[in-house]
Amino acid sequence: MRYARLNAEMELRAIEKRLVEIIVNLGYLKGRSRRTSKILAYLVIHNKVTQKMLREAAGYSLGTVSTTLKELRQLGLIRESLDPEGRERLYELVVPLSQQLAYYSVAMNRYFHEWKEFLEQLESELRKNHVAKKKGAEEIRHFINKMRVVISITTDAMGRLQFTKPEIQREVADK
Amino acid sequence: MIAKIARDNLKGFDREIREIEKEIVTFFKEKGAEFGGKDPIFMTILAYFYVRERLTQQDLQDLSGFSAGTVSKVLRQLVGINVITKGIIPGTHKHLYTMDQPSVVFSQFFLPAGKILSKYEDELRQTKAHLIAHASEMRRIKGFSGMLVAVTLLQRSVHLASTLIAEMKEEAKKQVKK
Repeated sequence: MRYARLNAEMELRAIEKRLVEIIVNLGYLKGRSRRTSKILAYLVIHNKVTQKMLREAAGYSLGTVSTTLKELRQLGLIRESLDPEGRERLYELVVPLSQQLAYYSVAMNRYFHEWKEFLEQLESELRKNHVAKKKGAEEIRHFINKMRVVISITTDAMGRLQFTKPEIQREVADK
Repeated sequence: MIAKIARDNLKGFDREIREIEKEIVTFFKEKGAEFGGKDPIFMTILAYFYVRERLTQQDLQDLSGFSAGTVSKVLRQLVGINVITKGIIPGTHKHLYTMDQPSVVFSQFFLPAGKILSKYEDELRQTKAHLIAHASEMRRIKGFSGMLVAVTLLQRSVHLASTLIAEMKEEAKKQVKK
C-alpha cells in the first residue's frame, strides 16, 4: 500500500515536471526567459506559493527566486500578500489560469482599440509638412497600413470564432 | 566619427522619423507588457522588425542600444519560434533576418504559434487522461487537484489559441487574394 502511494507520488512529480516544461516552452514563445517561465509554471500549478516552496520546486537559489518574483510583479503578472497563518509572503497570479481566457478576450478588444488610436496618431504626425517627406516616412506609412490589415485580420478571426462569447461564459462558469 | 554618422543615419531614417519609430517601439514594449506580460527586450526587437522588416544583428544593436549578446539571444528566440527567418546577404558572410508574415506574428502578442501548440495540445490531452485514469491512487497526494485543473485549463487555452491562429492564417490568405 505504502509502496503504491510512493509510486503514485513519484509519477505525479514526473507529470508536474513535464507540465512545468510545457509551460516553460509556451512562455518561450512569448519571449520569456526559462527562469521566469519556470517560476510562473509553479504559480500556475500550485496557485499560491512562498519563496521557499519555489526554491525547492524550481531548484533556484533564494536570490534568483526573489529577483524573478520582483520582475514578474513589475510586469503585473503576479501579486504578493502576507500569509495570515505564518510570516511568509505568498505569491499568486494576478489573473488566475481559470480566468485568463476571459481576461485576455476582454483585454484584446481594449488592446486593438488602443492600437487603432495609436495608428491614427502616427498618421497625423506623418501628415505634418516638415515630416511628410523625410527619409523613412514611407516605411512608417507602410507599417501603419500593415498593422491595420493585421488588426482587421485578427478581429475578423476572433469574431468568427466568437472568441469573446461562449468560451468566456464557459470559463467563468467552470471556475 | 564614422560610428556617429552611422548612428545618425540608421538605415536612412531622418531624425524626425527616428523619433516616430521610437514611439512605435515604446508602444510595442509597453502594451506588450501590459496586455501580454511580454519581455520588454523581446518586444523592442520585434517592433524594429515590424517597422524595418529586414535587419542584421548589427542594425539591431545600433537601433536598440542592446549588446551583441542580448540581440543574438532574442534573434535565436525569434528564429526558433518562426517569427523571422535567417538568410545571408549575397556576397557577404553577414546574416540578414526577415519578418515575412506580420499577421501570423501579431497573433503571438497573445497566443503562440499553431504547429507548436498542437503538439502541446496532444500532450496535455494525454496527461489529463492519465491523471483521470490514476485518480484513485493520486487523489490524496498534495498537488493532484491543482495539476488536474491546470492541465484542463491549459489544454483548453491551447486548443482555442491554435484554432484562432488557424482562422487568422485563413483570413490572411483571403486578404492577400483581395
